This record gives sequence, structure tokens and C-alpha cells, in this order.
Amino acid sequence: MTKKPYITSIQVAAISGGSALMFPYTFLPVLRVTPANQDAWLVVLLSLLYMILFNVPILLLINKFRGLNAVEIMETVMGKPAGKASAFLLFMFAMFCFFSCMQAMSIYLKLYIIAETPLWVIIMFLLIPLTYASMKGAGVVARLGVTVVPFVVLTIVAFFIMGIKDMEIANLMPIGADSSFLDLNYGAILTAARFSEIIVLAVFSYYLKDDVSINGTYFKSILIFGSTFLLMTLATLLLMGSGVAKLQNNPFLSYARQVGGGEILQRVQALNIFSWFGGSILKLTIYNYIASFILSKIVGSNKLKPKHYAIPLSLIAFILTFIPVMRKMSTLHYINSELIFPSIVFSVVVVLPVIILIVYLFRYKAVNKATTDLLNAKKQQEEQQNMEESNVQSVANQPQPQPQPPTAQNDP
Amino acid sequence: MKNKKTVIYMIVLAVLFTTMAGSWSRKEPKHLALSNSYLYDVDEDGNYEITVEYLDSPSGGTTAAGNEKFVVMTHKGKTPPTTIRDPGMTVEKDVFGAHNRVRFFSERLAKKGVLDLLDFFVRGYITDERPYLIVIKNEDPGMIYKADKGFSDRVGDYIYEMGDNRGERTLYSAFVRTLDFCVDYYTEGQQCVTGVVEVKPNPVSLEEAAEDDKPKKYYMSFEGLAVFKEDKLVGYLDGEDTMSYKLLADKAKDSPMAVSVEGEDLSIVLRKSSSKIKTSMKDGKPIVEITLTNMVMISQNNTKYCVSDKDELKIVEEAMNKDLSQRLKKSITKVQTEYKSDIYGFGKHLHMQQPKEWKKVKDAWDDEYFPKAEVTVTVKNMVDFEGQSLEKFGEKNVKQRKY
Repeated sequence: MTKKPYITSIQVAAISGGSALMFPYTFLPVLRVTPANQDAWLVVLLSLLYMILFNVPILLLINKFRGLNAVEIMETVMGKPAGKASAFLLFMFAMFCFFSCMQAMSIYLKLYIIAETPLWVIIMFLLIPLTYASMKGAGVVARLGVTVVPFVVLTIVAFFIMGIKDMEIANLMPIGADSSFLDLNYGAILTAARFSEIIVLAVFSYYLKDDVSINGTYFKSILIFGSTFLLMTLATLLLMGSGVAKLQNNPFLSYARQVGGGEILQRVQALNIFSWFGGSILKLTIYNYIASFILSKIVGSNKLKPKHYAIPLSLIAFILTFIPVMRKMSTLHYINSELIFPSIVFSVVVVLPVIILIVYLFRYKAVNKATTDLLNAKKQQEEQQNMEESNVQSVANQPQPQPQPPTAQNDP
Repeated sequence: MKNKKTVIYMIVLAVLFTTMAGSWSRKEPKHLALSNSYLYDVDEDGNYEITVEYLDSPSGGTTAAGNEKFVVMTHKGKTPPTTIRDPGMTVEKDVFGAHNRVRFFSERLAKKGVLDLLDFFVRGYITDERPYLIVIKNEDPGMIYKADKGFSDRVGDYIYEMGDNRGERTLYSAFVRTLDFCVDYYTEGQQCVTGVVEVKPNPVSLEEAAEDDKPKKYYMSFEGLAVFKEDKLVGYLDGEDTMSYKLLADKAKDSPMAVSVEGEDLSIVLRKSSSKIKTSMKDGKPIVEITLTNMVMISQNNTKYCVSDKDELKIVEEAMNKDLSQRLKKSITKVQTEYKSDIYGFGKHLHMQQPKEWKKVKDAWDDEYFPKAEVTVTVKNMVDFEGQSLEKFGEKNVKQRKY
């Protein structure tokens, strides 16, 4: 059995916040959600509050059952069959996120950026690095996060600064006058319901050291996500106004094309594409890993680790991407619409954890006992593993017998 | 050792990135014809005529003589995207429009409406919203490619340089990018404008000069701007009225102009200018109160006043305020009555300041409310620098002053 890797709070915050960031980076759907006007930035601010509210059930669960992974939590609270079924829902959700992100990336790359490159080449370009990183495990995914996410955030900040001289504060006016309180809240709820990255925290918080605060990590990820999300929304609105910004399929990339005006700065927009590409690969890696991790825990085989599932899951996504209907932008719009995406995320991120919490309330005595037993068993297993490792280490450190010089009899 | 390997990987990656930044596709740049400017026109049957200025790339784009190679071609077709793709197969290279600098509209087309074109500009993945939009006043818009291009080799570059280097510093011409036009189009209570160009006979002929040194027969004049209502051209403003527009839109900086002080000219440079527009509704009539504050430097003094003397300067400032406010008022009245198109954005300010009132009037704003808006203009000129000289040049018998 391999030892559990420990990852830091900032690594988890980076992958969670960074992964969440890629959706607005690509679509900025907040510009089109009700009230769909210059108050979109108010919707962003309000949505952060709703996001925290929606994430309370999962935060309660991962804090309460610290030391158990997501599948173990579900199995412990709901019993084996129902737990496995719930875990399967989570697996399907991770696959949905993995596939929809893959579809979005391939469509944008194909239609928008490298139109003359064959689709299979684009997909291979995405799949090979992400599958490799996913197979390497949670530690590598986390380290990838702290490499890619700062670059993404810095690019957004840099593009914001480059656009300042062309921004018009009048594009945000009048503030709040054209939107009702109800409109703003409705938009904020729909926007918050798109935030699925609490799942990332739920899976990766398992690898946090015991003394690291899960809530602190969560708020760090919200800070990374919220501040950059707000910056992108403000930049796009201030430069393009709500009317033109919401026309765009890709508002922030369109914004990046406008700033700078020409010459050297015009070429800097390539940075934006690199940043988007790197961030999207990270998001794909995260969801591939989550899906592999959950599937391996559902199957529960000692021989099959998460890394063994990474390639098959990538292959499934590869095949799905070639279904003709999946290659249409309108399908992507439908999946990402207010009707589909927020409903699916809300079901998995809010409804499922609430059900688990309710079940826990009914069976808390039995669940608490089972949790303690499971944690003790894990602790014993870890201690035994540490002892075995230290034995191996001490044997390795013992002085090795010196090779004897060849004797005359041994000479040929 | 491990760190060394990482560093090598990073360097290799960085080098690879530089190769990727050159092109967006597998197409070698040498097979591309890069467009530098587009002229959009329509014929009587409504078919598009698009004239494109192509640059050969990048076999250097230069001939043995060192001049860049470029060609101007006209394509005809039903819609802009199909026409732009050269349906008559006149250019042997693949057309690439991402380096376009300027979009010209013929007067015919601009009067008909540019909405279809804007949809193409915004929708096209290779087109973008950076190029300037300019209406050509001439009956034959193709004349633009016969005019003098100053120090530039191509018309697109000429306009781009002109707009970027001088656009903000002139009060008499407007250089408007596609994005600004689109933003204004979508802004409630704001109508759009574009730049305007007229090709005129060049008064300088230099008959005796060698053929290569002779100036071209025509030159481009950018004075004024084109007024749109929704997506249609409704008329032009001259240089004087363009000045009013740019001052009210806060689009002036370090711009030279002349003002009248008791019938004499005073040349000034507006170092900084800012306008405040206060709007309200009274008895169903919009009230617009404009306050324009200018920081001014004097560049030539033809008046009888000594502008270094604070008391005399006050008289000059008052006279400047009066002159400028009268000129602004006159221009605004012209736009209100002749064009009924709110290019100043009074409606936008009403929307920002009185959103409830705006909802009541917005549908009829340009035709009904904007023309009858009661506009008052207050100008506050502050001369912060009278130039390098203390007295008017040539005045020899000046009394000793106390400064």
C-alpha cells in the first residue's frame, strides 16, 4: 500500500479556486444571466454569498468526517449500497464536468483559435498531459495547481491593468437602477449554482494534514476565485459595456483582444491563450483525477488504484467528443445554459449533501461509532506502515560487508 | 542534478512558446495575403463591393528596391463575409484579415445602414473590433487609394498612425474604433459617430520636380465627423462642430484651438478638459446643464491684453468663456435640430442620473425629447501658463509692470 501524500492548504485552494475560475474565463455567463446588464458585477458579489451558503452542507460533512475520503463518508453515513450509489452519482458528476470542459475546450480551440488543426490532434494535445498528470496522483495535481493558477491569475491582473486607460466608468452606470433586488438575487443564485469546485475541496481535503483548517482552505479558494472573477467581469464591462460584452461567446478573450491597441501589446494576447489553455488542462486533470479516485473507491479493489482508471476515462471522453452532436456549439450552449448546468451542479453540491446530513441526523450514534472504528483502523494501518518503513530504512542504513579481495585460489 | 534538468525543460518550453506565437494556424505566413484596410461599398442592386488593400507576407513583403509589396483589389458579392473571401479568385494567397487597421464605409453604404457589417465584424473569429471606422465623403470612394499616404506605405497604416498619434490631440477630427462604435450603439441614450475622410485635389503640384519626388494629385482631409442615428449615416459635422463634440465627450487633450477675445484671435492649447453634464426633466422637457472646465496654455496672443497680468488675464478668461460657450451652444442646437441624433449622450446622462425619468422617455428620446432639450453651457477656462514670454512680442513702449 502506498503512503497517502500530504498537500498544503494553498495547493488545495489553488486547484479549487483555479478550476472554478476557468468557467468564467471561458464564458463569463454572469453577463447574460438575469438582470444581464451593467449590474453583472453586483451579481458576482452577491453570488459569492450564495456560494458560501450552498457549500455549507459539504463543509459540515468534510469537517465532521475529517480523515475519511468522500466515498467513505457516504458509505459510513448511508450504508454500503446507498453510499456506493451516491458515490456513483458523484462519479457521474465528475465525468460530466470532465467531459463538458473537454468539449468546451476542443470546440473553442477548433472554432476560435486553431481552426485548421484536426480535432483529433487537439484532443490528443489535451488528453496526453492531463492523463499523465492525473495518473501521477493528488500530489502532482496539487503541485500543478500552484504552478498554473498563479500564472492564470497574473495574466488576468495584467490584462486588467493594460485595459485601464480605455475603460469607461460610465459603462457601469446607473448602478442598481435598472435591476430589481429580485433580479440581482435570482442572477446571483444561478451564478452560485454553477460553482461545483466544492467537490474538489471535498476530495482533496482528504490529503490535508490534520492541523490544517478546511474552512480556512475553503475561504482561500473563494478569495482566489471571487477576486479574479470580479476582476474579469469588471474589466469586460468597463471596456465593452454590457451590451457588447454579452454578445460575445468568449467575453474575456474578446476583451483581451481589444486591449493594448497594437504592435507589441497586441501580440501579448497570446499569453492569454496560453494561460487559458494551461488553466483548462488543469481543470481537466482535476476532474479526471476526481472521477478516477471515486471510481477506484467504489470498486474497492486493492489492485486497481485511481491511476489505473485515468486512461480509460480519458478514452471515453475522447470517443464522446467525436459524436457529431457534441461537436456543435449549440450543444455546448445547451449544456451550459441556465436550465442544465446549474441544476446538475445544485443537485450534486447541495441536494445530495443535505440528504446525507439528514440521514446522519437520524443515525448519528451508529455513524459516529462506525467513523471512530474506521479512523482507528486507518490509524493502526498507518502506524504499521510507518514501522515497516522505518525498519526498511534502518536495514538500508546498516554498514554493508566489504567485498573480500579475491584470493589466490579464486583467481582463474 | 534534478534542478538542472527542470531548468533545461523550462528553457526548452520557453523556446517552444516563441515558435507558437507566430501564427494561429498551420498555414505558413508566406502563403497569406494580409489585409491592411477595407473599403465597404454597395452597388445599386444592393450587392457589396469590397476593396481590400493587401500586403504580401512575409517573404519580407519587400521588393528588391526595398518598397513593401501590396496590392489593392475589389471583390463583389452578396454578403460581406463571402465577398471578402475573394469569390472571383483574384488573389493567389489566402486572405488573412486579423491585421486590418481601418474600415472605410462609402457614403452610400453608411446611409443604407451598417448593421449587417457590424454583425460580421463582431461575429467573425478572425475580425476584431480594433480597426478605425471612417466614412468616405467622395462620390467615388475608391479615390482613397489614389491619395497621398504621407510617410506610410499603405493607406491602412497611414490612418492607423494618424489616429494613434494625433487622434486625441486634434479637436477638429474624430478617430473612432469599431469597439467604440459598438459600445455607443448599445448604450441607451447615446448615438454613434465615426471619423470622416474626404479626398481632395492636392494644391501642391511641383511640376518641375522629378517624377519620384512629385506629390500625389490627391490628399486626404479628416476634418469633421460622421453623425449616425442607430446604424445609419444622417449627416456630417464640420471641424468647428466636431470640436464641440470632442469637448463634451472629454476626448480632448493637449489640443490647439483659437478663441475670440473681443474680436481678436487668441491661440490656446487645451492642456486638459473635462465636462460635467447634469440632466433633469421639467414639465416634460429635458434640462441639460453643461459645465466645461479647461486648463489652458496660451500659444499666441493677438489681443490687446497682457495675459501675464492677473487682472487683464481675468478679462481674457471671461471673454474666452463667453466665446466658447456660444460656439458650443450653436453646435449643439445644430445637432438637435438638423440631425435629431444624441451624439453627445445627454440621454445617457439622464439614464445615469434620473433612471426613473429615463424609462418614461427613452423610446422617443432622439426624435422627441433630445431636440427640445433646454441646454445651458458654462465654460470655465483657467489659463495656467501664458507661454514663455511675459509681454506681446513687438510692444516696445510698455509701462513697467509689477510682476
